[in-house]
Amino acid sequence: MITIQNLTKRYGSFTAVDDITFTAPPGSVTGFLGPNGAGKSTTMRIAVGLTRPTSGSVHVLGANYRDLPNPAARVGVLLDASAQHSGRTGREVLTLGAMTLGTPQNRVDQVLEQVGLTAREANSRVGTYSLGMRQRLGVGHALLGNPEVLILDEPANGLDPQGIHWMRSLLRGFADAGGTVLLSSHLLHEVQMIADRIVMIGQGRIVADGAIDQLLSDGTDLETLFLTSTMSTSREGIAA
Amino acid sequence: MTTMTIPNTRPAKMLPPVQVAPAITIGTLTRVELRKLVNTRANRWLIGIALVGTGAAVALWFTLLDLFQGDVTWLDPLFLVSSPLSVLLPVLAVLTFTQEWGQRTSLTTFALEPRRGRVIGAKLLALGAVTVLGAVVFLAASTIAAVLTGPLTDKVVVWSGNLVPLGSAVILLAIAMASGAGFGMFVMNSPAAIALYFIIPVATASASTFPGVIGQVGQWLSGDTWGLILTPMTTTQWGQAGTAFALWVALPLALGIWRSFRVEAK
Repeated sequence: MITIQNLTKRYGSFTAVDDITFTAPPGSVTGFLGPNGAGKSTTMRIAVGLTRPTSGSVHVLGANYRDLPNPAARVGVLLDASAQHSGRTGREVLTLGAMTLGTPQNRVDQVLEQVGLTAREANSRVGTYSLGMRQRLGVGHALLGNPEVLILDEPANGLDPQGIHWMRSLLRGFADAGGTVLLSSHLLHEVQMIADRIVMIGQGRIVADGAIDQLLSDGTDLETLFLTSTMSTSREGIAA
Repeated sequence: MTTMTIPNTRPAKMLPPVQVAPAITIGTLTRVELRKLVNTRANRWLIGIALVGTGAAVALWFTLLDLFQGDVTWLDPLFLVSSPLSVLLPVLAVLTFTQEWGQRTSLTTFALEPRRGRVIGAKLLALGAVTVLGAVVFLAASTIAAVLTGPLTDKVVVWSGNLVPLGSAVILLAIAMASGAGFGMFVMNSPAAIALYFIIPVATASASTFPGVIGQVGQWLSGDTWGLILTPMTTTQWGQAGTAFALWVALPLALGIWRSFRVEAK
């Protein structure tokens, strides 16, 4: 469960996140959508303690992320798959995470298999990885501690169709077993397929929040809803 | 720090949790930081070059032996054989911090351990361990050079109990590591931090040789007096060592730690 309560983040005179409130309940996939620059990544960074909010709070599993003694054991995070040292091998990246978490060493092999990275790929430096391989490594890192919450910023970015299909089953299975998924994505058709709830953000404010069936009950599709809800807040909308 | 009981909310249907540590200890964080010092290509090259350089310095020792009149003590080679490590290990100190920001691994590092003070402490402890290892290599290299001097040349080697050269070398290395760490933490950019780390000592040392005011000021800014620490020093020299330390070690560390806490990991 992720609860966001009156969260605001200001950078000087610029308000990136403007008094937002929503919940990502357990047992569901919550799609977090919005135009670029709307505040999704900022919100997620605050959720995992990387950025301090100006006011308001984000609670994961009922607590501040910073108060969890071993956060990655309960909350899996993927914010930017390219934020890895290019001179380190994929296996080393996961090994560092496994060491910090305190998992047995065979956990790294388990995760590599789960995300579909071969032994040869694992032993290559991240600098040689394709975008899809980085994403798989990032998702693997998030899964290392076998968490009950996943916070993912554009996890399917760069994945091929098999990868997207795999991600879909992974996340759906995770949520069906009771886990919480907060997922931001621009692949609206994908999100429409796996999300139970949708939260839309535009210029730092929530513009839509509800169960996907309810939001699309009048037969619209997610893309249309997105474009109309965020029109005035997107780049194209402002220029028009 | 309040100890909260985080409710166990794990849904029954989920895969059983993988065995994890209940909390992350500083020992674990330090082991991870030590591993990070050697598990990138850049760092491995750095360490490799430093070790090869140390070997070359031992070889070079024998060509310089003629400059030594009379007997040779076992720590005489130290000034030479400690140079490669003394120059290159502090670069590791810079990189351990700048890499997190430049390569953006800060996102991963601080997601795993959101309390930055603990991560910084672990990095400094790891660098402390590296300093000790460096001292061991100094001693070994000097001993090897001294041991070989007798048989290979006609010099007599004296095994004196005077450890001051070793102590000085270790102090200088420790100061250099702390300074590198400070510059790394504050500047956050690998090339800029490394450049500053090398240029400042050269600039201040040469300034201190100028006549007049520049020379006077230079002597107070330069770390030249640090090498005299275990020998008798005048009050002025202690003062000069102190200001240089405050300026090039304490200040960068303080500013760097402050900055590390404030900056967003993006």
